[in-house]
Amino acid sequence: MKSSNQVNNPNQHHHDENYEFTDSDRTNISGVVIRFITNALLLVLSGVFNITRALFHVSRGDYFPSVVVLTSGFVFMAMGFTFFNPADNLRKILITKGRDIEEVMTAITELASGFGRLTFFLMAMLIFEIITTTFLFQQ
Amino acid sequence: MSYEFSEAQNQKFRKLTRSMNRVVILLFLVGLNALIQYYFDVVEYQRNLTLLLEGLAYLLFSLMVYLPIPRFKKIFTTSGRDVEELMGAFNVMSRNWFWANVSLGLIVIVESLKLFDGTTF
Repeated sequence: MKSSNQVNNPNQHHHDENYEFTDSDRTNISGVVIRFITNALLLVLSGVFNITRALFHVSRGDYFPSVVVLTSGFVFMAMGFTFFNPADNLRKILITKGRDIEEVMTAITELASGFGRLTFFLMAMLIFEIITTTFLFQQ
Repeated sequence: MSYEFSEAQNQKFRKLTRSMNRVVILLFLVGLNALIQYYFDVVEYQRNLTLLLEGLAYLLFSLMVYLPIPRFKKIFTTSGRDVEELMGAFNVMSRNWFWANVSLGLIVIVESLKLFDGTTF
């Protein structure tokens, strides 16, 4: 809800698209960029290990565990890729001038899209895991 | 003078918080399911450290994704502190996701050991 201050004092806040973040804000943003990139790399690496293990299972004829591990691998990789693009957009804030708000909004949009894709993978994984757990409990 | 996001920009923050909320719930359920499988020893080859660590990691990530959501929500529900709230959300991410990095690092180490010693899972 917007307060009446914005109507009574229109110069209190502004929508200047050339708004520049302060040095303190940039320090904060650089911390987020590091976390995003570290998360992304570790998640993708974990996903690669899972997928490799899945291939080993297939080579040994263990098809059921291979599907479980493969799904887990794809979820980890999807989680990882969720963070690469937003990290890049936020990084641009630190190295460019005059487009801070635009880059932030692009990062927010990319993050929302990434979480949307992740929702799809997680739902598929959850349905599969619940079916598996239910089936195995009955055995 | 502080920056105030426009309604179109606020819509993007709303979309972000909605998608983050969905991911929080799903990550929690996936983690819970993994821990149930581990605890009840549903399948012999799944009762191992990797499954326990992955279950805990999913629960931890669920919490990590949840933590900045209230700050993002304040951007489009309040007026006058948009940049402060945005920086607050980023601050939460950069402080708390350190622990997500640590847990991920442990998982990667366990996964690599499992891979090289030929363990089934």
